[in-house]
Amino acid sequence: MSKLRFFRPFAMWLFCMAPVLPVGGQAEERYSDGMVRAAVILGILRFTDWPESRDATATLQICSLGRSPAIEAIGNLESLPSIGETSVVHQDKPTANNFGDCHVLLIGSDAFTDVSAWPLGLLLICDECDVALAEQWMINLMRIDNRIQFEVNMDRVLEKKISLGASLLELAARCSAKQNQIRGCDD
Amino acid sequence: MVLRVHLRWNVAVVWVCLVACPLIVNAQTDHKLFNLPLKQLLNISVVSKQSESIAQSPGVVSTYEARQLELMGLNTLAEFVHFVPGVEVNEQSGRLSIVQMRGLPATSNQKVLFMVDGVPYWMPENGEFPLYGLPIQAIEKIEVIRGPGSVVYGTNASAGVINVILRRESNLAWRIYGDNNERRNTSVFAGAGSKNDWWADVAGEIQHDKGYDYQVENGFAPFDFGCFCFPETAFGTVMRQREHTSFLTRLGYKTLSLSAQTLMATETGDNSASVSTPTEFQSEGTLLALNYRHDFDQGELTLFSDWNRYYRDVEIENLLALFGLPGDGGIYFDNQGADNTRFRNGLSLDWNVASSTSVLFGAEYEERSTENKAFYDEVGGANLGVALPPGATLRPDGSFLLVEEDRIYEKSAFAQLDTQVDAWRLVFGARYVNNSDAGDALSPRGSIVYSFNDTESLKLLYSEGFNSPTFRQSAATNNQGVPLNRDIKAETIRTWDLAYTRTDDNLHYVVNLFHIEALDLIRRGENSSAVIERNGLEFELRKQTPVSQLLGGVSYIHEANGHGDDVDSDYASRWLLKLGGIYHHEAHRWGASLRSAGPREGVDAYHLLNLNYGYAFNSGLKLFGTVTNVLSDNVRHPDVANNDAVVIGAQDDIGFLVGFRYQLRP
Repeated sequence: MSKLRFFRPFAMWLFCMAPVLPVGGQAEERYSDGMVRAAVILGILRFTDWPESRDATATLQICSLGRSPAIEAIGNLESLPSIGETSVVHQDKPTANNFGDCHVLLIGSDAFTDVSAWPLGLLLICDECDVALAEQWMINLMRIDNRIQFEVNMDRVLEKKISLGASLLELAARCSAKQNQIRGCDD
Repeated sequence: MVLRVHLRWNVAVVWVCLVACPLIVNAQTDHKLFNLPLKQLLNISVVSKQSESIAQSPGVVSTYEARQLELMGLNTLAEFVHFVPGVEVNEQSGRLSIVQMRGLPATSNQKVLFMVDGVPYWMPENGEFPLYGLPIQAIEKIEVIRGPGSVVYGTNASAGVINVILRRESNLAWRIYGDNNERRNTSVFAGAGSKNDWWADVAGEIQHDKGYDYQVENGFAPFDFGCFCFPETAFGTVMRQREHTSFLTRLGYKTLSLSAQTLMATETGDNSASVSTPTEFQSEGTLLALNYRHDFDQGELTLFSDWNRYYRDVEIENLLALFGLPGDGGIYFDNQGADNTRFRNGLSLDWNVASSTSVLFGAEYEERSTENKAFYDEVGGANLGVALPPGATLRPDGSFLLVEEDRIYEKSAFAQLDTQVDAWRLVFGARYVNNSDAGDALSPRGSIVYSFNDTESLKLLYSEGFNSPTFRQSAATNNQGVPLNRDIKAETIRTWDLAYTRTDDNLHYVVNLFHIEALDLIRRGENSSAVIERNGLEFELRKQTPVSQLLGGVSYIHEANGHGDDVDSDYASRWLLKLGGIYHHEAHRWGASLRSAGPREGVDAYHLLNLNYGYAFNSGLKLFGTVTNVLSDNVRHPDVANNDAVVIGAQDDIGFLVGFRYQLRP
C-alpha cells in the first residue's frame, strides 16, 4: 500500500504536466545551447572564403571530431540550411580517405588528435576547447553570460590561406593577430 | 500482488504519456534560428545544460579518457580507476577488488557507487560491483567524484562515485592483446546510427587466462591434528586466474535508449585467506536499463527504469580441512542467484526557471532482494553438521545459513537549487530517503563556487552521504555462520571540501583540502560508536600540448597509516601518487603511468610503473606493447576488508603484453 501511496501523486502530477511542459516555453522563444552554437557556426561560414584550391562554391562540408553541444546539435538536424547557393553537409568522424573533402573541422573538447598535418583551407573551429588543441584553433566558441560568443586566432587562419570578413572579426569577442595588422582585430 | 499490478500500471501510463506527448509537440523546427543574422545570434540567451567546466562544477571530479589511459599502459577498468588521484584499489582475499577513497574504511565496495552511464550496478547482497564486467573498447571515459554524491545519486555514494561513460558513435574498434602470463584478451565495439534518429551499438570482451601464483601471507591455516589446534598463520601461493565474457548492446531512438549488459566470470584464488583451500568463484551479472529524456525549452525531464542481477557462487577445495575434516564445499545462493536483484524506477526534472537559475527535482523507488546464501559441503551439506560453528543454524539439507532471504524497499525524493549570481554559483539540495530496513534520513548538500575569472575558481562544498546496510552487513551471522546479535543502522558520511581550481588553455590543476566525518560507520556488521575522521589534501594536474599530455595527482591523508584514532586508519596509505604522460610524434606514441602508495599496515610503499609504446598506421591499425611493473616492485595489499594481518600479493614481477588495436574512424 505504501508503494502505491508514494507513486500515485507523482504519476498523476506527471500525467497532467507532460503535455504542458514542452508548450510552456513557446511564449518566450529560447533555444538550446547546442542549437545556438550550430547557428553561430553557420553564421560564421557566411563570412568565410576558402582558397581556390578548396572549391567551396557548390558544397561546403563540415566535419566533426569528438563531442560537443554544437556537434550534437548539428548531428541531430535532418539537413543543414544552405548558405546562398552552397549546400552544407555534415560528416562526423571523417576517415583518412575523405578527410580531404572537409572545409571545416569542428572539434569537441574531448577530441585528442594530431593536428600538425592539416591541409590548407581547412577552417578549424573549436567548441569550448579550453584545454585541448591549445593555440591550434582558428575560431573558438564559448559561452559567456548565457550567450554564445566566439574568438578568432587570425595567425592560424592566415596560415591556412582562409579569409574572414572584417565585419565578422568585429563581432568576435576577441580577435588576436600577433604577426599581422588586421582590420577588425583588437590586439 | 494486486498492489504490484497497480504500481506497474501507474508506471506504464506515465511512460506512455511522456514518450508520446513530446514526440508530437516536438514537431517545431529550429530552422528559423539559422536565418537570424549572426549579430542577433550572439545576443540570444541560451538555456538548458551545457558541458560544465571542471572549474565551475560544484564537486571534486576527475575525468579520464579511456584511450588516454590505454596509451599510458593501463589495460583494465580496475587500472583506470586505480589511476585516479586519492583512489586505491585493494586486491583482497576472496578475489575482491575493493575501491578505497580518501582512506575511508571499506569492507566491500558499499561506500562507492559504481554506475554505467549513470545507472547503478552492484550486488545487493554485499555491495560488490563488476569492475571487469564491461568491454573495455565500449568505454569512452571514467568520471570519479571524490566525496558523497548521495543527493543526486542516492545510496552507496557516501565515499565517492565511479561513473563509466560508454562511447556512442558510428565506429568500429577492436583490440587484442596477450601477456606473459598467457592472458588473452579481445574486446570489440561496433556502433552505427543515422544522423538524427536511431542508433545502436554492440560490444563484447572475452578473456582467457592461464593465471599465475600470488602470495598470501598470514593466512588462515587448516586444523593441525598434531597439536589439535588451528596454527596461527599460513604462508603460501594460490593460483590467481580470471576468465570472463561480457557483452553489451544498446539501442536508441532520439533520446530514448535501452541498454543490456551481461557478464559471466570464473576466477580462482583464495577464500578467507586460506592457502590450503583453492577456490573457484563463479559470477554472473546482468544489467538492463531504459532511459528517456525529454528536452524542452526550459530544461529536461528524464525517466529511467533499470534492473540488475549480480551474484557470485564460491566452490572451495578442501573446505572441510579448515574444520579438521576431509572434503570440498562451497557457498551458494538458493535459486541459483536469480533473486539477487536491484530494481530502480524514477524520474528527474531539471528546470531552468531563469537564465541563471535551475532547479532539479527527482524521485526514485528501489527494490533490492537476496535469497538464502548458505555454506554447503560437496554432497549438499551433510558433513557440515559435524563442523557446525557454535550456535549456527543447520538447515534440513545439512548446510548452514550465512544470509537469509530478504527484500528491502527504498523510496527517495530529492530537490536541488542551482543559481548563479555574478561570480557566485550556489547549489543547495537535499535527498529524503525512506528505507524499509534502515528508516528515514535527510541528506543535504551545499556548494558555493566563486569564479575569479573564466579560468580560476574557489569552491566550498559540503555534502552528506547516506548508506543503508547491505544484506550481508545486516545478516544475523558472520562469514563463518556464527550468530551475531546485530542491530545495525544506516551510516552517514559528512564531507567538507575547499578547492581552488585553475583551468586555462593548456594547464589544469586543482588543490583541494577535505575534512570527513563518518557517523555510525558500518564495519564488519556493526556501527562504529566513534566518529571516524579523515583530513587531507589533494592536488590534481593536467597539462597538455598538441603533442603531449601530462596527467596525475597526489593525495595526503593525515590520519592514515596509524595516525588516526580508529583501527581502519592503519590500513590506508598516507600518500598516493598517480602520474602519467603521453607523447606522440608522427606515428609513434610513447606513454607511461606510475601508481604509487605509501606504507600501511604490514606492507611497504609500492611504485607500479608501466611503459607503453604504440605505432599508428594510416589505415587505423595501431600496434602496441606494454611493460608492466617495470620496477619489479612487490606490490602487496593489507586486509582492508577485515583488518586482519593477512597480506595479499598483487603483482611482484615485471611483465609484458603486446597487441593491436584497429579503429575504423579516428
